[in-house]
Amino acid sequence: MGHDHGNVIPAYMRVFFTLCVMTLLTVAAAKLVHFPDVGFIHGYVINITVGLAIAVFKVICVMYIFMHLKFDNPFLRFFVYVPVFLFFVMTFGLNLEFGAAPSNDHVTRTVHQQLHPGENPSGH
Amino acid sequence: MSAALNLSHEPVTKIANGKLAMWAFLASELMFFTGFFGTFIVLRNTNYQAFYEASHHLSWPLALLNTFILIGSSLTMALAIYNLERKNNGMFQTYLGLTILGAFGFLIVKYVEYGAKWQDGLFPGQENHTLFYSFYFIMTGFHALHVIAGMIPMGFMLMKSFTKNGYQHPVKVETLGLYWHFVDLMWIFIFPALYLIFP
Repeated sequence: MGHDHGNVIPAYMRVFFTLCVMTLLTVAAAKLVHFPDVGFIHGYVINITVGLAIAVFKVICVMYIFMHLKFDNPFLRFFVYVPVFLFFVMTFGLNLEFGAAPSNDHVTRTVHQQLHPGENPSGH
Repeated sequence: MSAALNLSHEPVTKIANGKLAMWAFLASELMFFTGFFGTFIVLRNTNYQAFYEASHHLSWPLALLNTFILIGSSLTMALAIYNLERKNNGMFQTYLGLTILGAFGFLIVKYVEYGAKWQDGLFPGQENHTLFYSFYFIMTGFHALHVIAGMIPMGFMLMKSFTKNGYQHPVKVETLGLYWHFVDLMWIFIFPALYLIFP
């Protein structure tokens, strides 16, 4: 079928180990590291963005090597834009403050307490 | 068969029809999941406190274990395709079997995780169920359904490979491989979205 891409096993193993290391990095970036605020950018924004950036890097590794985009017709590489687009949507969506991100949370709670005095603000 | 009449591949790009169709299907699958991600993000931002508490109740070590299992089964799937293209039927069977085993492992860990949630009364209809868990169960549930859906043709191919002629369709396995890597890829997004993005 003309699918001989030579010996791709070293590439597969490299991707496998990259994915494992990156997974551990994602968890570390989310659970151990709390990035400090940089100027007007909140630290939690950096946390979320780093986590998603690692995720999209892993996805591109999988698509290029495991899903053979690197070896197949370049026409198919068009599909890489789909997860990259999802990355941007998630990054901007998660970092927009609809009055409920951690920095504004005490505001939400105070407003809630004024509206419903004597009630647990989280409500669950 | 005349080369001019061979329509098994798309004529301009020379990509097998099945693979091209699978790519289009996977793009639509991603949009299906993006709908959940979009609503999840909007409702997370407006119910941050409740989502924060619920997310910290999830067991991220189990999800981490599942991530490793899925990455491993992606690798064995790629190796299975590699060996089938080189007609190493024995190695193909080994790696495809390992892939199915990985899928089983994933579902077992999922079962353990869901069992703990059932104990805590977090299932839909139970007393502690909240909005976050609706997303948790629908996103991981649909993902688990995709895992099961991938296991069925894999089992069929593995059975066929034990017949006299072995399994003879590397392009079909490659197409299934695309689907299987997509299942892995979706988990790579679901894992941080549900378990990790609540700093």
